[in-house]
Amino acid sequence: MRHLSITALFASLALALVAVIGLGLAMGAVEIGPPQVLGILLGHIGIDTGIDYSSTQDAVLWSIRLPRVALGVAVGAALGVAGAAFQGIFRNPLADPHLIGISSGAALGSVVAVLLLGGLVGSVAGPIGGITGGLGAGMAVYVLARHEGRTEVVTLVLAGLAVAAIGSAGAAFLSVAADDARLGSVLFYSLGSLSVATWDLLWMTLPFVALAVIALPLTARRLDLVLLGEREAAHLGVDVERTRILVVGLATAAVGASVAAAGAIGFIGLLVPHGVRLLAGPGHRVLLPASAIGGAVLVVLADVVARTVALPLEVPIGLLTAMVGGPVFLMLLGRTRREHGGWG
Amino acid sequence: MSICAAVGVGYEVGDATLLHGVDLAVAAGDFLGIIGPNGAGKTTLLEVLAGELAPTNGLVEIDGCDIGEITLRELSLRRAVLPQHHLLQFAFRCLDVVMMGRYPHEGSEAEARAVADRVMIETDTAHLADRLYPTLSGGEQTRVSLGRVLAQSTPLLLLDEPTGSLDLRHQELVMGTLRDLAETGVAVVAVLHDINLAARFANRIMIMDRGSVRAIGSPDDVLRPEVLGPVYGIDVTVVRHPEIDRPLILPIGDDGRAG
Repeated sequence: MRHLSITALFASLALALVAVIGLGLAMGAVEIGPPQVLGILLGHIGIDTGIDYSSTQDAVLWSIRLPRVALGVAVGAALGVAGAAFQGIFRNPLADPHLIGISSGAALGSVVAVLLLGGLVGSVAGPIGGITGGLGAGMAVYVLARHEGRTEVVTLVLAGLAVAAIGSAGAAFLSVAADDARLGSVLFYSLGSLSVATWDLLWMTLPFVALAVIALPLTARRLDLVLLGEREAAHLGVDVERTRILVVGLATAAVGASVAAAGAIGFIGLLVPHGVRLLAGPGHRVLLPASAIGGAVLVVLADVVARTVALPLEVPIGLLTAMVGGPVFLMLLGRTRREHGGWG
Repeated sequence: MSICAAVGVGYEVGDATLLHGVDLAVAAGDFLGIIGPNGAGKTTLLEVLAGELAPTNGLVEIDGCDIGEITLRELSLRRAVLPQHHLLQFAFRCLDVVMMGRYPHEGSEAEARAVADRVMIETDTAHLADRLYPTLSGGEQTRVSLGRVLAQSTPLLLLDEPTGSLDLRHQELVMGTLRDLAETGVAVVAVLHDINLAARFANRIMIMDRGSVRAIGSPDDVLRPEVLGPVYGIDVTVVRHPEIDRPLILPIGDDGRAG
């Protein structure tokens, strides 16, 4: 298949991002038309457009929808870029942060931190717990899946499953032990939602995401060489072990922070890089930034669906992505089996 | 001075001794063919020479320096390695794969492209430039991978079965390319399964058996029935190639029908 040109790819992604951001800002229980959206946004940066809007519309847009959409962009970018990075460094197209247990480790870490420190969802304890939990899970899976210097596909997925199960069980146990007031926060982290988005939460998440989105593409050429094989990369002068620590660290921190802000949202890190690879090939110089933008598009879009499809109820976004992502993952597994003649 | 030297190199894993007392010196312009039966330690030796495995005994030197003291980065400018198996499963174009060989040189895209175009002609892969690597046949993958190794433009090439799964014409082409490179002063060390191919193109042959060097020297010196017979465990006869001045090794059938 002929690959898309880089310009065409990024232009379409940027257009899609602008479109879903517009959609995310305009859609909701309180009606705010596109002109009002523009008027309110410009009003807040000190430009008077003369467009008429109510103070309710102003409050809803500025304090609820905008931080929510912005958090969706950050979380989606984190999951997209981290998924692409994990798949590259583990040389395994199935290494999604959710599947390899990092998301549930981060979720458990966030729950523990929030419960222990008595804070609420959205407090600073979340990101700290999320990143610690994610790193712990990542290290556990990594150590389990390494064998004689190789990361085996089957072992990676199985170790991820086991770590994910332990993480979920831990969170479930805490949900049993927790009182009603705190039960909500346990469910929140397990199912994923952008509903608690605030500006404060966004500012806590953003640094980790920005670091990953900016720094991971700097490792792009090294990741390309790692795909040749770890020995081959070393022959070409790449310090594979150091690259691995750097890449896994950056990606895990971004995922941990995003889970702490929005819970465990699955399959974004699997679907987006896979789609980008089909469109533009596996080269990481394009794959990493394109997966960040693609992830942002998908999460903002999924969130719009999550909060409008069953009004006045809100469907947890993690549920939505799992419903779509599950079948796609099965398809990918089947393809991997056909191409490699086995699950290995 | 030798580009690559092994002095009393041994390599042990657990109870197994994979290499024992290997001495070797390769100079610019050498084309050394390493032959020997399965499990003789040929690949292990190549990995030790590449700096991938640290010898448990002895020393490997590149340009007179202990290989353990040379950084990965520096090493990647001095030697290139073709592994026996090619693992890439992601859908890179072949041109991209070959250009990856230029990574150590930190040159411009245009320079990388120019080198890639040249080596893809040498390995007869120019027509595969836009094809996706995982969709190639085994022999095509070997040639593209060899192209990547040649694009690295190092004074020392360590190749594990560069003619693996190649057809007759491409065996000749690849071996001819390697001989030409050796004539320009590159040192080529290749593990080869086909003794006659080694006999025709290499100017030095090393015969390995059970981790040790059995013989090393010119094809005529070492490719003799009394050396090859015990190593491979079958009787062979050595004749002259009818067209070129090199030995030709033929097994003698022992089942009463052939021979």
